[in-house]
Amino acid sequence: MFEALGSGLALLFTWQGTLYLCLGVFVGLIFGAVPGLGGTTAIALLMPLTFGMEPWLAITMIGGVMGATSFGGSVSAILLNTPGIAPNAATCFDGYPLAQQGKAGMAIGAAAAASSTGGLIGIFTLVAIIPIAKQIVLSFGPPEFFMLAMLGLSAIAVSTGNSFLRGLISALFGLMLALVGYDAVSGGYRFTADIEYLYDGIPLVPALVGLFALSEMINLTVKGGTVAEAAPSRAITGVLPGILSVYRNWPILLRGSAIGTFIGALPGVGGTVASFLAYTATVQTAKDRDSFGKGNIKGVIAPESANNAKDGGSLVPTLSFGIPGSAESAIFLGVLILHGIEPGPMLLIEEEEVVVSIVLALTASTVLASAFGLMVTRQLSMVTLVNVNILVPAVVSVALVGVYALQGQFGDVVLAMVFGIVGFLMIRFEFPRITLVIALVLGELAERSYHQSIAMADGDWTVFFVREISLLLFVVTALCLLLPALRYAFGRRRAGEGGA
Amino acid sequence: MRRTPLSIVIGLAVGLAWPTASHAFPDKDITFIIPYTAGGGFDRTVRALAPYMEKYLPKKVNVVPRNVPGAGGRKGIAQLFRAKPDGHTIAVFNMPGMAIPPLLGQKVSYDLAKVSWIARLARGTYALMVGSKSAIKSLDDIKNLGRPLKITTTGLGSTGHTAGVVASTVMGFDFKMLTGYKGAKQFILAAVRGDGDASYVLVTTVRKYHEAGDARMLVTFEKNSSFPGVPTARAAGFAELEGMSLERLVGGPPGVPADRIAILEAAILKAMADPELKEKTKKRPYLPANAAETAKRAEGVLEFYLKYKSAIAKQKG
Repeated sequence: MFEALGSGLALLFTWQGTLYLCLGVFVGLIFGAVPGLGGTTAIALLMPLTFGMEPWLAITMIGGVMGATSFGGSVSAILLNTPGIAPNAATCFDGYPLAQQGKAGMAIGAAAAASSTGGLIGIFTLVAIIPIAKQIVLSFGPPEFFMLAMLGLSAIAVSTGNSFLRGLISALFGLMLALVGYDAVSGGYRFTADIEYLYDGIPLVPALVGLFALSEMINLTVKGGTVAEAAPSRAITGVLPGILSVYRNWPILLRGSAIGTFIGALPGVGGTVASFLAYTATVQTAKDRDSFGKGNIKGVIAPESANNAKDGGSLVPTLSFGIPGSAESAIFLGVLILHGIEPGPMLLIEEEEVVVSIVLALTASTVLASAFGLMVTRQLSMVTLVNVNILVPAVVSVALVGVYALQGQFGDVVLAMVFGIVGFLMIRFEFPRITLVIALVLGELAERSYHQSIAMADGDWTVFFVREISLLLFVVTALCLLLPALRYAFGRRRAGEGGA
Repeated sequence: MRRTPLSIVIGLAVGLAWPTASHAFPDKDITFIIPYTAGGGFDRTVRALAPYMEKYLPKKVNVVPRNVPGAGGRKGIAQLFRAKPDGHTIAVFNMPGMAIPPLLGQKVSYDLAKVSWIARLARGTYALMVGSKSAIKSLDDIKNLGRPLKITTTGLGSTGHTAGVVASTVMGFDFKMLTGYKGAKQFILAAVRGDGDASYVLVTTVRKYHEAGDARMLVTFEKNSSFPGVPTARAAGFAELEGMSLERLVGGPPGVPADRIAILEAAILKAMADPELKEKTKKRPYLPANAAETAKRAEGVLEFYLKYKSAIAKQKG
């Protein structure tokens, strides 16, 4: 392994290696930042370019893309309340309020440091657990996935904002939307109104672009002015305090990275769930819970460390079983096959060079992406000072082009616009959008894994409690839900004692 | 005024040249629709082929692969049927995948009997696997299981699901489908993990899992077994399962002129015979067939699955 590592490093530092890595990072940053595009599109577009390349070179470039997209996406989440890619959605909650207060530099600095450190932790964990990767992947079946989805849904309880009831209404609306489309169990099509476009359900990315980007743009147009409300100083500062805040809050960083790596390693769960879980865990355990959603830097650190750590994690099933842990790693497998490398359980043994290349490229990319990003933070932050009359048309057209480019489907554009209006109405009538998104993301996983669990246990619902990991996840979920109530009760008693 | 006759001459010349120009097919880029997402089997088959197909077309145009995923492939094929039948839009078909929805009584906006078939790219053969730690070691063990065999698969109406139902019916199993997995690799893993007992998988997909010792093969539907010691369907007494396959066929919308089909057919066949492409794809080789044979295969697949229509429809809850 060390020998392969040495030769891999030597390859990375050839002019070709460095050039293609930087190219990948650059493309990844841009595709990450433009709402709707994302890493999958970037890799799909780059794939034909890699035809004539050596496999390691192609993989280096793809690794560059994979490591850079989520930081790119965090920039648009912070500056425009528009997640560049779905896993950045959780970054909006506190990142955007920071930008509104004129602290965009601080938020981006924190995102950059959290992304790169989280990414590195993810990769080191990957390398460390490769020997036992198979057992980890094999110990998560449908009951465990169901409980994970429940854990994620419990996040709704802390994300409801001011009105619990409105939060629940949004969440139920999200669950209803998650039911639309093909149902693998019955083979039927539900709530599609015979529209072929809806056969595959509500696509997440166009929905997110609508809910966050377009609705925010409508809202800005109505309000007028600029994104940054607090009279912003011309010189945007705070990048360094932002970076330092990450290391000052190292427990949050570590927990976010751990959640990201772990969720990434589970095939079919994905970075969006990872960053939500990291965010909720942070809010639930924080002493200053009320300050979240209003621009708490910890609310940026947690999801950003998680969504970059998931890249390392998602390679666990990819390398040990040839099963993608994320959309990006799915298409990465396609690239391998194009180059005559068969992914699968033998990859680790037969194709050491490939494994070393991807690990090195990811490592370099997570650091490079943040460095590139920080270099232009000041210029980027100026976006929040742009008058809405200029900003809105630009963002709307870029977002809609991005949505269209995703699959070349006009239906996606229409859907994004519909969700833009829905999102605007939700802002107007103070319904939290985030609970809707959590439910939309997790609803499908919850339903599918529930059906599978019940089917594999021949209808015996105790299957969720007799399997150790599933039971453990249930206990964690229950604690998450009870903890705030318990703390509230204790807090009252203590307050009562103090008063007496 | 002296120029007028000249312009008439030019006009006439262009006018006369027009019909001949349309014979010079292809006169613009060819769109190759892939009705699945980038990175999958169909995508890879077409993307590897496209540059070589360009090489063997009589005129220099691009062959542009275009992913139109959705509704299990139906969206892309529907789009093909809406395209002009001038040979500039073709698609790769999943057979029997595209034939199953009509068998289940679902409405589709295409008619497989009217496709302008051009060539076959590949053919996949199925095999039955269990996890290597499973107590099931042979087909007889399944018969003596005393409970339904749980088969992990994708969703009802998908190619894998249908193949599983048909093969299990032919072999007379008492079985139950465990649905909802996102793809072949996911349900192979599910069988290895023990969510269910067994899985029907394409031989090319499962090979690595078999070599790594994660999967145990019970029977293969190949003509000659490529897994040492594993019986073929014929040897197990189910010869008809040799006819069960996943065909990757290329076709155009109804009514593509025969001369254009011939040009496309020749380009695709020559591309698949190109030594450079052969070397690149030696692990998942193409299995070419010409237009006439492709049409016959498409019909054969339809007939095979039509025989089991009631078994397939019975799975619908």
